[in-house]
Amino acid sequence: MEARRKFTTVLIHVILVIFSIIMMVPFLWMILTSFKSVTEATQVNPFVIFPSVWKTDAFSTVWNNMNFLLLYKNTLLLIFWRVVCAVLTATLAGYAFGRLEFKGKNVMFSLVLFQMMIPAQIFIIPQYLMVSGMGMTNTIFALVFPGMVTAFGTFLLKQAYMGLPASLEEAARLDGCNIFQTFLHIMSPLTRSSMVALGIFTAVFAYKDLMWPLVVNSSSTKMPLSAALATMQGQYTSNYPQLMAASLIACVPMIVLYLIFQKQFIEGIATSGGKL
Amino acid sequence: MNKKAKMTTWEKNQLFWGWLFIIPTMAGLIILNLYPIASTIYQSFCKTGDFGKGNVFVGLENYAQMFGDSVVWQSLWNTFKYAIIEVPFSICIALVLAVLLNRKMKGRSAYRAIFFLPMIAAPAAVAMVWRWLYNSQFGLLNNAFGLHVEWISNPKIAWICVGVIGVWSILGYNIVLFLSGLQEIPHDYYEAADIDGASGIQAFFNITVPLLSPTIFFVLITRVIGALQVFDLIYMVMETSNAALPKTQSIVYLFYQQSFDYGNKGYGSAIVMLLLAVILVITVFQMIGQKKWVHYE
Amino acid sequence: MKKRLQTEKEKIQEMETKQAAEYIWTYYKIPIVGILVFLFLLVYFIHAFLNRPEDTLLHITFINCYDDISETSGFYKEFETYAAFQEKGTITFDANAFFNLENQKDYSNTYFQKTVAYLEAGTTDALVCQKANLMGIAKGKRVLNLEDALAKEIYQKYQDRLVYYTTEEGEEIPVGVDISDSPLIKNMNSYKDGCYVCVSAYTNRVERVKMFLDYLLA
Repeated sequence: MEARRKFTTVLIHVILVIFSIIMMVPFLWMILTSFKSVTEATQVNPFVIFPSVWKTDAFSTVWNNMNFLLLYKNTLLLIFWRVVCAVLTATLAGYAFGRLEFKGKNVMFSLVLFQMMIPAQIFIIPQYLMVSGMGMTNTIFALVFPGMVTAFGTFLLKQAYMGLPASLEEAARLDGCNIFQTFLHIMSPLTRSSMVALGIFTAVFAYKDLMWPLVVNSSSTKMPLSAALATMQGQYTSNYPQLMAASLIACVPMIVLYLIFQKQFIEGIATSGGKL
Repeated sequence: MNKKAKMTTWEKNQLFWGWLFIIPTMAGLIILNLYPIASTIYQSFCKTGDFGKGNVFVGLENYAQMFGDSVVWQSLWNTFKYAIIEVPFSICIALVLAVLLNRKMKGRSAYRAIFFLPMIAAPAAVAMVWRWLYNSQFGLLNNAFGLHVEWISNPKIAWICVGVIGVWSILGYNIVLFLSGLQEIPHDYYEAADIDGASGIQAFFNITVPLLSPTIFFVLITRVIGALQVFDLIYMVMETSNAALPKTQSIVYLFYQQSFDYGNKGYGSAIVMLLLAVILVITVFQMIGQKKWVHYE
Repeated sequence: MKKRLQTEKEKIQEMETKQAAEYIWTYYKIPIVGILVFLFLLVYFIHAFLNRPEDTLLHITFINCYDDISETSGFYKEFETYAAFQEKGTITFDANAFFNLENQKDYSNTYFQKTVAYLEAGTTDALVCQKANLMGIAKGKRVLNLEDALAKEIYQKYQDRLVYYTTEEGEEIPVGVDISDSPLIKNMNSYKDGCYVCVSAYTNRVERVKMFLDYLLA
């Protein structure tokens, strides 16, 4: 029995290590490239995997040329507001769609799904017209604007609420809680891990979103990281070491944020496990 | 009598709070998305652009042209082929990995961080790595196994290779979703199963899958929609001169070409409507089908 | 409702300050936070509204431009002096667009979409670009046919510099003005292989674009 358990553990680690390597390849490539010289980075025949000399010039150059502190600030503000707005609106709507019965619910939910079925490219120009009509280009609000509500998140939270047992809600209602109190004190804490997942998704999409920031915030002091990196690539077309060095510096806050947030998953068990 | 009156207050309460809760989201979606959708629908009946001459209403002309256009149907078929690879593989692999990552073991946080990395890797790096792997002359795959396969320029296999990149890039997202769903499954179930002497695999099929089914359903619906809207990926790996492009270009790729490159927004909008109709039908079937396998408590 | 408010008020008045604060916080924290957020947003919007950008006098997008054409550059300042617009507003030279419509890769589709958005929204009035991009953009039919009455002055003055695009139907349409030999463009490093100006089909500031052309070709 003990031997079998050990074997299973080893097997699991082997599977996870193999997939970890597959998942990490582009990241490793980013790290290796950032230490290469420009010619090594673009050489194709033969491909250079390890740099012959490990250079750190790329890092110092981009760090000195780009105002990373400002870019971090813009990106973090963008992420913060999008996560707050998206999680808040999606939690409320998800609860209503998942647990309440009211007239018009199904029609409204169909609209939510409907929105997801349209390719995102068609929204850019009309949304840009709205922001420029308000005279709000080159502001943090402009960056946050299309991400304030989320159809994806609403659907995600709806599923999370639907998975919860009805008994809890009935007990709360018998204790005299109204719908809002039941939602706030009993039900929403139980969907914490879904909220965290939505938070992670919103943050990653906000971080990666390039199209929208490029369109609304053309001023270099209002750009988030993604747009600044793209501009840099546009200006120095084939300087891959610098581009990768800048991308790596840009990733750091995201990794830190993820490590903090994924802990919430584990803490989530403690809160929900006790009550169920 | 009394009971009936009580029911109505309860219903009134639900109506009030329900609408209050969905108003922020619905207002946002209507302003941000429904108006652009409506204008796309209108545009699909127009001939647009043409050096500043504005929109001309042409009725069903775009649709008639589209139904006779073999490129559209080929692209739709390409999109289906892509989805058939991406959706099942990304879901199954991610589900297994998420269950493994949910076990208490050494290095769990490290693994979770690693599986998160592809999501934030620079798109340029991802593109370069995949082009290098698939490069027919100097690529890693051909060199490592001594092959001479044209991975992405042979129309017969290019769609599979593109699908593999799709699975790879979506895996991390699915894992995050499944992990969050797994947290909401009470531990008692597994303890009970353990006492009954169920093996890990039995527990997986009898407890994890049914209890995770709302999340699996969510991932399935959103992934099918996402896969049918694939665009960036194909743009990233397939150069315009690639011979396999006609056999891999997706429907959104075609829409992008028509709307942006050729300025035929009317025709592009008609293509979007076709895609919308296809997704709508598939989603409705999935919604009906969920009663058979999704367990809500 | 009024009665409830009254009793609440009495209840709070009976308590000590600290107790009252605690009581209000426990029972009314959500409305309080809500009001604070609302006030914050209100202040933010008023602030943003007061600081909204001035009207645009002229907006020109330079595609694949690596030279300095920002507000502090000589190129920009000299044009500002030359144009001497009476109205209040800003002139923008946007150099944040990099793509090559002959060989698209990586980010270029994002930049192209941005440029299309700027054209369709009427944000930008004219594009400065290389030949391949001029033809690529003309294919999208978002530039003005210079035979149009709107562009009459440009058409007449720069007749010998016009560049034509041939449509699928074989029609020849003047879409751009060749400015390769402008001394100001020759001073730049970005447009060594030729440089062209095309006018947005969605603009209503054609005469200012002409002024820009005059400045370049004076």
